[in-house]
This record gives sequence, structure tokens and C-alpha cells, in this order.
Amino acid sequence: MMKIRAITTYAVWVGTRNQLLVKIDTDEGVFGWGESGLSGREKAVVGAIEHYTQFLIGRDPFQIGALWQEMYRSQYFEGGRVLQAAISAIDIALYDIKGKALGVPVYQLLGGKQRNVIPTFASTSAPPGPEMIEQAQMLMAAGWTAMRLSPADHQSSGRYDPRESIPVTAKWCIRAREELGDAVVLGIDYHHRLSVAEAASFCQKMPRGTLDFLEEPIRDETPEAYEALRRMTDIPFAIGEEFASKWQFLPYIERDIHQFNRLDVCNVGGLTEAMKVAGWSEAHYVDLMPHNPLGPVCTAATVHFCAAVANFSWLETRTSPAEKLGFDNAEFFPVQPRIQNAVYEVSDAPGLGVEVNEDLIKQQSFKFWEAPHLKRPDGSVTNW
Amino acid sequence: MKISAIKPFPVWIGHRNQLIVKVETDEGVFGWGESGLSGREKAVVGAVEHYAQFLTGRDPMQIAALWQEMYRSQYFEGGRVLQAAISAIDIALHDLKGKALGVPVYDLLGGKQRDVIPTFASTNSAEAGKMIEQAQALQAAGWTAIRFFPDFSDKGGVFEPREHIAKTARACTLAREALGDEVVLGIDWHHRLSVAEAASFCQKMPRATLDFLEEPIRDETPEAYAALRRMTDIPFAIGEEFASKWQFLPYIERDIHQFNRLDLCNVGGFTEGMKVAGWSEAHYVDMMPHNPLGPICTAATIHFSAAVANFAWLETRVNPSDLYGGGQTDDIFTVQPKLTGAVYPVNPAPGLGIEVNEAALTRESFKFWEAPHLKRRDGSVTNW
Repeated sequence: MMKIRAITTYAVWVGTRNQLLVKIDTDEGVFGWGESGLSGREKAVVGAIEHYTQFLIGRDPFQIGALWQEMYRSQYFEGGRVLQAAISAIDIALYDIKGKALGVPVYQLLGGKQRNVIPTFASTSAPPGPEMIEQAQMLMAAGWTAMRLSPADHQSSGRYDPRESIPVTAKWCIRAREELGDAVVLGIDYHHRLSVAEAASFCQKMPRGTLDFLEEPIRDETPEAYEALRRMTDIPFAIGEEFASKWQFLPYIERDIHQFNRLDVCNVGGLTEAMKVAGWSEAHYVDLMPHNPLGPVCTAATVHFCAAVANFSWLETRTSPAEKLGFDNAEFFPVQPRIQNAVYEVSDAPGLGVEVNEDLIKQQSFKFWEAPHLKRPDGSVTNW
Repeated sequence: MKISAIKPFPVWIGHRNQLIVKVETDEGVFGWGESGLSGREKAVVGAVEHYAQFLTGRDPMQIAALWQEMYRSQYFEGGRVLQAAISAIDIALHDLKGKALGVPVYDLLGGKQRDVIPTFASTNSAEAGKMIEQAQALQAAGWTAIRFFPDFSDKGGVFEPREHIAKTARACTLAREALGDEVVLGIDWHHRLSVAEAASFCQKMPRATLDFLEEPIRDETPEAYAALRRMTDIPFAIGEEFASKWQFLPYIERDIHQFNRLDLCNVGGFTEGMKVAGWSEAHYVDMMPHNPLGPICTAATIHFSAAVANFAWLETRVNPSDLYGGGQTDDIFTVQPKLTGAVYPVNPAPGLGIEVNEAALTRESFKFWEAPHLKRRDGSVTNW
């Protein structure tokens, strides 16, 4: 039996953000890489991984489902996003190991490949205005058929007033739909900055058919609030990137609140939990539209997940002519998922099919980073 | 690797037909599956013939994609005949994939979560004295969970529920007194009661007499089960006839059942079974799989039981008193799961870990069999 020999965390700045990479080594030399998605609180996740490492050393890396249960349940205090972000990275790394050990790509451990390439959606980076529409046209020319816009004032790092953002954003969404035509899928990500009433007003300022999805208009801890909004607008919802277990998805799936599932493999609990959430989303005819804002390890894991699920629409990509974020730096990740004509290839290499330049990663250091602490004009806290 | 042939073997073995399906490949690797629609095997054979038309020449490793194609690429989705066919093919593909990769099937399902598979056994006499005697023999042989049956012996084709309710309730009450508090006791009514009859049965016993009530009523109306849920506090064991995650959906989401009686050979194989188990886990419902068929079903269900987190007991119809007959099948199934005491060991051999003597299997023939067509005393039809 192969045994876990070491678990190493690398919380390092790559491109324009920290990446929390986790490497698991075995006594047989096979190793796996995982990534954790709790951006901004990586040190807490590193601490959690230290706890898990205590009992994972010496264990069989093939028993992924059982180790997941042990990490989740054998600590009395179940769940929570820090612990779950740690479990996610470990789970992904264990899948990388198991795939490499068996000589198969990870999707083969998830029921096999259901698609040959992974269609993506891209995001415009310019605020609402002529440049936003130019970027969208550029993305369409490069092959994208689904894209996400960004609301007004979302680059602000200090003051944010939702009611100032709403009319400008609605106006430019209407303009974008007119300019880009009916065929392209258009959505917008409000990054949970609105109230239910604000979100309703935003939706109602646009003609029907303007947007195909509305991502995270409001905060998500109250499914009932989302249900209220569901009755006030007919735009399909894309929700779930912050959810840290199947239990958080449960009301959204079972009550048919969301139409696109924004699961993040690096936060939900890795591939083990993601497949359960995807399976039940399928029962409700909800398609997966995974969150993928991290590094190439996250992208690779998510590509395998997307290849293996039945119910899928688009994978998020932050690599496009409209955005240069540097997360996919090829010096750090010499082998990583390749995107061409708006689709990711599905790697047939064993495991995740990523290679990490560990020596270079070791030279990088962590930078503390805070999300902007936004304030309303009256000085009160509002969400980033 | 490519699928080269799919062969159904509907053959009488012991005391019932078994519908065995073999999937062969051009590389010589093959897999065995079993289908669970007892009494309507010819219909399933016909469905397998349809599926074989487009499965031949396909990659057997892409199990989940083939599942989707069998389920969805025919316009008329679902239904138990088609699903029983899909189940056997899905199980055979897992056997094949495990063998091709050199791993036991549980390693394709997230790895092993338990070292042995606890089972429950069944008595077959409804007469209190004999019921207790049989249960004591099972306890002595190691069983800690036991299922009773009402008197289902042939009374000239007549079954009158009200003639059995009081008697059976008295027998269960006496059995609990005789067997003590610790043993888990349940009863299977084989969906022969109405809601009112089931309520009366439950109410004729002191609280805590039974730990589970299996299939008291028919199952196409979750609302009827929800009504019964309000009339008794005995946990329900339901689901052996369900032929998809969609049939389980209301039972899981409304917390109607406490034990999930999934049948791998009817629900849609491992692919569907794992999705149902994953969402049962979200509702803290344990798997208590149905397993009344042959050694291939048992082997498949052992791998499933090994891989799920949420598990109670696997059904076994093999017990020291050989109460159910069935006879020896070792000449046909030369390697098959064998109980050790009251638990099944988990076989680490590649695939399902069973071996079939195909020549011996081919010598057997099919026998038409009808479930008894029971009547009430007034001559009207009632369920078997």
C-alpha cells in the first residue's frame, strides 16, 4: 500500500494574487498537486492543513472518499470554509496522485470523459462604456459565445454606492445587447454587492432578454432572500462560488433557486464533494458553470471535473484577450491546461496533467492582501 | 479499447431467473453485470439489444457518457425496463474498467470507506415462536440487524391485509421482548398495505418495537408516504424499486425515508447509485441496499457499500439456516462473495472480483415466472 509521506503547502504570490498550492508526497515517489480557493485568508487554510497533516501521514492516498469523511467529520466541528478550503486542496492532490499511480487522467476516476473540449465563458474587464463593448466584440472574434460583464464602479477600492452603479450598468447592458446581437450569451457578475430591492431594480431597468444570467446579485447566506428575488426577475441566476459544502448548495438545488451552479472545486471540498453536488444538480436540470479564478492547478482540476459531469454549460476562464492577470505564468507552471478558440483541451496525461516548477515556487513569497474594504457614501461597510 | 459485444444471459439459477450481462472488448477484457427487474427479464433483454446497437465499437472507459447516451438519446427517458438494462451494462462497464486498470471497482468510486460490509439477515416465519427461534439463530451467528416478514405463505392466492396486521404486530412485540433491546429489528411488508392499514399495524405495537419499517405501502405517491410519516414514528426503509435519482428525489428531499433501499441493478448501476448516495448523505440518510439477486449483484453492491460514506447494512439472503434456498451456485460463479459471519469481506481483486463459468452459465435456460397474482377475499387484485 502506498502511503502519504508529506504534505507541503506553498502560499505564494503568482501574477496578481496569492495561490495556495498543496503538494502531497508518497513513499513511492508519486506526488500530487492541489490548490485551495479561500483567497485573502490563505494563512488560516495553511493552519488547517497542518492539523490534517498530523493524521494523514502514513495513510493510503487511494482511500480519498474515506479520508474526506475523516477530515470533515472526525473533528466534531464540521464544515466551514477554512477547513473546507484545506480539504479541497488535499482532495484534489489525492486525485492527482491516484491518477498518476494508475496511469490515467483524473476524469477516468470520475466516470470517464463526457466531452472532448471544455467550452468557457470569458469576462470583460473594462467598466460599462464603449471599451466594454469593444472587449466583448474582441472576445466574440476570438471565439467566445458566452461572456460576462462587470458592473460600474467595481474597480473602486474605497467608496461604493449600489444605486450609482445600477442605472449606468443597466444602460450599458442594454447597449451591449443591441451591439452584440441576440445570439451571444451575456451575463453580469454583481459580486454580491446588492440588496434584494437593488437587484430587482437593476433587473427591471432592462428589457426582457437583455441578460442570460445574473451572477451573485446578492449575498448568499439566506436562500429565502434569493427566493424573494427569484419572484421579482426572470433572469436565470448563477450562484455558488463561495459555497463550502453540498449542504450550502442544498436549498439552492432543491428549491430550484439557481439555474447555473457556480461551484468552486477548490472551496466546495474538492472533486469528492463536487461530484455529489453535480449529481444532484443534474436531478434538477441545473448546469455546472464552475468558478475558476485561481491558478493552473485549480483550472486543471476543474477541467477534469467539467469533462466528467453530464450537466455543464461553461467553465470560467480568466485567460483571454480581455484580461491579463498572470495566474497562468508558464515559468511556474510549465505544463498546464491550454485554451484555444475559447475552449480548454482535456489533457489525457495521468493525474491532473499539470507540472509545477517547485524550485521557482519555493523562491516566491506570500504577500498579505486584503480585498478592498468598501464603504457606502455614509461611511458604513458594504461588500466587496 | 472498444466494446465488441454485449451478451445477455437470462437463466434460471437456483430458485429464480438471473439476467446476467457480459460486455466484451476487442482487447479481450470483459465485464459482468446483472439486471434486477425480476419477472420481466425478456423486456430487459430486448432493451439491451437496442443499446447494443450503438454501444458496439464504443470506448468502455467513458461509462458516465454512455450512461447519459443510453438514458437521454432516445427521447423517452427513464422507466424501469430501460433502467434495469442500463444498470447491468453500467455494472459490467465498471467491472471491465477496474480490470483494465488493475483496481477493484471501489477504487473507481473514491476508494474504500470500510474494511468489511455489515449485513442484515431475514427470518421467514411469521409465527412468533419460530420467528424468535430463527432470529436467535441469526444472532448467534453474528447478526445484529434482522428483518422479519409477515406471513406471506401461499393461502390459495389470497392475501387479506387485515388478517395479518394484528397477528404480525403481536409477533413483533413478542420478538422484541425475547430478543432484547440491542438488536436492530425491522419488518418488510412488501408494499401490501394501505396507509390506514400501515398506521394500524404500527399503532398496535409499543414504541421502539421496530427500528425500521420496510415498504409498508406502494411508493408512486410520496405524499401518501408523507402522510404515513405523520402517523408513525418508526423509521422507513424505502427505495428498492426506484429506477432513477428522480424517483428518489422526493423521498430524499422531503426526508420521508430514513434508510435508502437502493438496488444497484435497478437504479441505473454505479453511476446513478453514487449520485443517489451522495445526496442521501446530505440528508443524513444511510444506504441499506437491496440485494436479492445473484452473486454479481452482491459483488457490485459490496463495492458500492464499501465506497459510500453513509451506510447501514447490506441485505443478504444467504444465512446459516438457508431459509431461502437458492442452492449452490459455485459451479457457475466460481469466485463470488462469501459471508464471514455476518459481514462480507471487501475483495481487492481487479474489477468486481467475481468469476463466471460461461460454459456452465450457457447450459442453463430461462423459465418464465410470475409473481403470485394475489387476490383479496372479495376477488379483487392486491399486491404481491
